[in-house]
Amino acid sequence: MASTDAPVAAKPAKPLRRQPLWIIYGFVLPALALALVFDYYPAISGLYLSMTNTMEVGIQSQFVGLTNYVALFTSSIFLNSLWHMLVLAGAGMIIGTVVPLLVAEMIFHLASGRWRYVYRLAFLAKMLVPGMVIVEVWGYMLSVGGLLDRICQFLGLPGAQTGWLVDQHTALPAIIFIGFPWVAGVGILIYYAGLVAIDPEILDAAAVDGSGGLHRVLNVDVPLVLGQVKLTVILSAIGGFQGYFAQFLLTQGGPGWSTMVPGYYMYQSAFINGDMGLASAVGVFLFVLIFSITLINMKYLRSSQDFAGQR
Amino acid sequence: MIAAREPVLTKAGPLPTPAKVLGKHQRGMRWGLHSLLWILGILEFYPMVLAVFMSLKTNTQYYLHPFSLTFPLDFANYSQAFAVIWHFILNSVAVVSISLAGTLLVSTMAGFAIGRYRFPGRDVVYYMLIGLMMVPGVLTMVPLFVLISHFHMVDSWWGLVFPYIAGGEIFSIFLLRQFMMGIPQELFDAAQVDGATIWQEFWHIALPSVMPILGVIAVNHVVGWWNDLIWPSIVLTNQKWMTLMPGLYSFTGQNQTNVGPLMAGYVIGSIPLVILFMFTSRLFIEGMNSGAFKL
Repeated sequence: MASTDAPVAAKPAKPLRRQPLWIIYGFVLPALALALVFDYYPAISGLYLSMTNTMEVGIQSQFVGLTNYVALFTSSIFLNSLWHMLVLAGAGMIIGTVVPLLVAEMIFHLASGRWRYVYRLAFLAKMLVPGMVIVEVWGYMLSVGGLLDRICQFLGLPGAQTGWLVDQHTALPAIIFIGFPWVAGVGILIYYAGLVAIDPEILDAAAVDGSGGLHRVLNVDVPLVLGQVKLTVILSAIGGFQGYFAQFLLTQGGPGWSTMVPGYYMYQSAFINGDMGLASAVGVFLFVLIFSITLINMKYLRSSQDFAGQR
Repeated sequence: MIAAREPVLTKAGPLPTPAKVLGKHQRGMRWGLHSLLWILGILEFYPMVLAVFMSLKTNTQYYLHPFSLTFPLDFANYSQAFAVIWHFILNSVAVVSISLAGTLLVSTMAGFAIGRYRFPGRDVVYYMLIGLMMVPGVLTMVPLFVLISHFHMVDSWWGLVFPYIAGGEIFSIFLLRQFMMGIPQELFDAAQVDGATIWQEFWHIALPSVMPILGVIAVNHVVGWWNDLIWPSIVLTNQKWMTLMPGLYSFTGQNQTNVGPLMAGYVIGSIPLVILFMFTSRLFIEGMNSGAFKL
């Protein structure tokens, strides 16, 4: 994030009249103390916990070295969950990049400023609805005899025999399908801001060259919003690697571990099986994974800043 | 960062007019775009509409026609649901209010000191705080629960409030510091001539100047905390203290075959934020925009 404040940092805050240092530290102390106790301490103790056999809280535990990590990477359930995570995150990256770009393009091509505003507001408003409500309702739509089955029946397609989330072969795709058509979200705002920032002369030139519709989107717009594309890819990846909301509410990792992901494996180890050590090991593993992606993101941060200014 | 840029949603700003580019077919194209957007919108919002439909059904109506609107509408589900979840709503209001007051207070103070004063260790403190933006929640969740247990904060609102403040303050300080740096020095000089103390500078100059960004921060925290499910359902097991989402979750467990009241509960639980949004949509959107840079 360091590059963000570069323009501001160019003129550092002038020191005011001399104040006793303890007063100034007093202003920072509450925030710092909370961060140390509730952010830093858990992060560091998580590393330690992952090398202990801590079961229930308060019971004596022992240092066991890398045993938990060995257990993790020899567990076929966990190794399979990595694959499911990659599938879900991969789908999320494609969906989270392509859909908002297309919708932002559609909104951007409207002539009426009022309608552009209404559509953006409407799609964003869905983010207020509790995710729990949406996922639960999708659970009903995907259940046996649910809405999706009825649509399949209407179209003459075979429906699910037991419910889309209850069949091993359809459960993972069904989780991806939750939220269809995946329009709502901050992605539209990100892309819309990028499109507005494109120099109108470029668009005029493209029009003179006879470039319009999908051709223009692919050859003119996409290269110009590449920073936004990178950002949404990274954000979707980070979200996809640690998410387990649908598993928590609907499948509990089943049926037969077919929707198990590392995040839910962690939750289950800690709060259902009471194995805090093993769960912490999953947390550390996911942290390393996400942190690497964050570092890659840092490389691209400058380009994603281009649209932060809305120029 | 936010102040420096134009409002994201200018109603009729000097936007380029891409319609020009579309040439002759622009009218047909525009209708096509509108229809597509409406279809997407209907599909996107259908689950919510469905929740409302299902909340107005008796069990018989549900088994016969689960996915459409049926008459007569059955409003009894709402009173049944409300009787159970009203105190979850009150609990959520309390937890969110305490967390919000705490977050805004500690982050405004820290942002003020870091943004307006030079003191030994300032940059270390700032980057220590900001660095936490790169630590995902999955790393800290389990050890945080162990910590909360040691503090005897399980089944207590403090087990939510302290982690919420400690998590929420980070990005807030990041934004507030920049806004503090942007306040004109003359305001502080004038106050000092009048003999203002540091507290008076904070309350009478700094705080009023950052009010707009505080609104943005507040609205976005409220949405996040109100809809939070997994952490509160770990911390709170006693119905007495449960906030809305874990409350609805346990309500779900009790009403698997009783869809009407369940959906009525979902609808009631979604309404407070919709009302909030009606009054603060601009703040929410600005926050969503700036939040996109938070990891």
